[in-house]
Amino acid sequence: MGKLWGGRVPKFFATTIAATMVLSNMSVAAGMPKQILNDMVNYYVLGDIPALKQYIDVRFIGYQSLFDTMQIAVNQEAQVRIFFSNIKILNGRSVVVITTNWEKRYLLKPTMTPQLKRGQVNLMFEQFNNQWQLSAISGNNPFTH
Amino acid sequence: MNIRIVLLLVYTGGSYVALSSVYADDALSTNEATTSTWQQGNASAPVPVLVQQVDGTTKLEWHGGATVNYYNNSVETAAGQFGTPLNNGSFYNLQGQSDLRSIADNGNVDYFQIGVTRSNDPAVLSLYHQQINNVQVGRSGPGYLLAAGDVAPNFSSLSSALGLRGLIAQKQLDQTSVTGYAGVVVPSWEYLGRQVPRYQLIRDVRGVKVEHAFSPTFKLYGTGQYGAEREGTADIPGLMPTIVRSGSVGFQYNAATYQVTGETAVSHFEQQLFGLQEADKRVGLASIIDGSWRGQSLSLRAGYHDLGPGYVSLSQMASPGIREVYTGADWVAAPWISVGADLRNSKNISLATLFSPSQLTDTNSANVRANINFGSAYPGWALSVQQNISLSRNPVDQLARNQQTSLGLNYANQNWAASLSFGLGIMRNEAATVYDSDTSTWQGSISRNFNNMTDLLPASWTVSANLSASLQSQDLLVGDTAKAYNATLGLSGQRTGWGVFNVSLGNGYNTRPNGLSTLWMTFLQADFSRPLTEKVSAKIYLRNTRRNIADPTLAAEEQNIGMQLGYNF
Repeated sequence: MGKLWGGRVPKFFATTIAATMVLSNMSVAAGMPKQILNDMVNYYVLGDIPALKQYIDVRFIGYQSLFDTMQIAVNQEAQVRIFFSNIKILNGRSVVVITTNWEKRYLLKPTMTPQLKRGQVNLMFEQFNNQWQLSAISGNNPFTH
Repeated sequence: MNIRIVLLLVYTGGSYVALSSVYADDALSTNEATTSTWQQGNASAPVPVLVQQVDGTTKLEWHGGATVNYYNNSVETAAGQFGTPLNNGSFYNLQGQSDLRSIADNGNVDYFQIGVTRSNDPAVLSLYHQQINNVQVGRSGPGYLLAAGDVAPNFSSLSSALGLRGLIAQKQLDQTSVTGYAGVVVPSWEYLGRQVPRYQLIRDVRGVKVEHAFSPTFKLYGTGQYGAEREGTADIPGLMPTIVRSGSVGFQYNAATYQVTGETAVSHFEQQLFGLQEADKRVGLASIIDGSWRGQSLSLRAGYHDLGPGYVSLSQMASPGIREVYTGADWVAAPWISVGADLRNSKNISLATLFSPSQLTDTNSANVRANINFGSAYPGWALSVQQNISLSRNPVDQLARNQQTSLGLNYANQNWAASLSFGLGIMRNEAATVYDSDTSTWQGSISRNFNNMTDLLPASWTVSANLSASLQSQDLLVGDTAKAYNATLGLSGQRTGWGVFNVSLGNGYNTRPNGLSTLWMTFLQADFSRPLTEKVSAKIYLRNTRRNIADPTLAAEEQNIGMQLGYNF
């Protein structure tokens, strides 16, 4: 539903904390990639996976597998919160790699059992036609179950 | 030594002026060209500011800053670390960054960037109390680039696309460019310095790319890369090092209206397995081709990716075991309507092991969409429709269906904005029927801006109010229904010279099955920031969140009060 909101994430209660934490811990050097990661977290928390497609190019290797995995995850999770720490940023030619530890807390449906997952992920953002997009996720993907 | 320089700059608080501050009359255009070159190599970094002086010369300013954040967390949670990532107590968080550059008369740009964080809050830095966020020193000039520190070579999708600590160099020789890199892949500088636990082996990597432009539109390239993990460099015993070699050839064709890129690669992977005499050795193959065409009202795209399950390279983009073909189009059918569609078939192929054969999951997916505006008779109104469907068949012939449909109506004018959308999701999976469900979601928002702008004067103050709400109902086919509701009321404003304030209030709930009580949540966030001087700003903030109120096992309350001082030069 992302296009319905004109590319901006609606500020719902569920997303506010995730957004605050991402922004407060990020270096400004990451620029647009930082904002994209922030929006991706917020859309994921909202369960709006189709909206994430605006940040991922169709040339992404494993495109459909990534979205199906995310959709399955959000179908099983409630009250999702993703928290980043130890954020590092590597700059290259039209590319930025963000390396970060993450913690994800959620309630597992249908019993609403609290869950805590931890991992480290590398997110590579690349500039295509003056537009930053996610081009790779390696390590532990926080956007899966 | 470099860190000392940065701290000195922050401490003295002076605006650091470029080393070469006086230029000839044509320096501005020279600097603009050089800055443009620099920016191409450092696209994500802040752009240097060129200031045209009264006497016509040009000076390049330095940028940097420091932020001190001091806050207190008060946390109560019934579920322990499952309930909150925060810790009780008072904490600080200090961030500094510096971006130093000098431009020589011959167009060379020397630069040094660094960002550091220091904090006693384990939620910010969980492994060590300080961290180098990024550091890079380098020089770029006409026809060459040299950088050291944090570098991210990005040769192509199948060869090298990764972040590392090391060196990268590029040289342009007529129509041929040569790029090389060498370094180590580690999560951080602190990891390299043994200040944090090591849970993976350090990997030495190097690679080279040679690219030749046969014409302004056609380029051919070849790459080679090598990566080898160092034995015994992790704190976890028994990790067996791997060796990866790969090579690729590829091309790019970029015409005015269409572009085609392709690459084919071969890799060799080797790992000595614990307890076995024979090393695990495998060869992998991969090929990709992508193309697109853009006309006045129509754009088309298509591609094919085939990465064998045994393919390994130094590219984070190259996920092994994927064979996919896609095609898509976008068409502006009329000034009031645009439509688009994408079709894709994906095969995920697992690597055969000693214990299991290779397995295949086959997925067909489609996305269709339309955007409609109602023209000048109804300015500001827009309607969007989108449907995604994905059908997968796993190795044991079980079917999974993922279908998402959405419909939305938007309105916006100078002071008002509103939206209403409805989404319907259908999930079916023969391998996990407990989560088979139909999920409906309503979302709505309305916002209004107020200001004192007139036809002659810009606004000196603005206030905006926003109300958002969402209601989701997930009907599980096993018989339960899970509902989630949340709403937020926000108010923000700013007045020139006074500062900016934001206040948000929210509440929501999640229902639970089997007659368990509903989980309620409330939320309050407020902050006020104000510039103290041209370079110094201050911010105070308060956050209070209560989740799963009164539930004996899930209740959590977080309160966070803090202040922040920022200094930019």
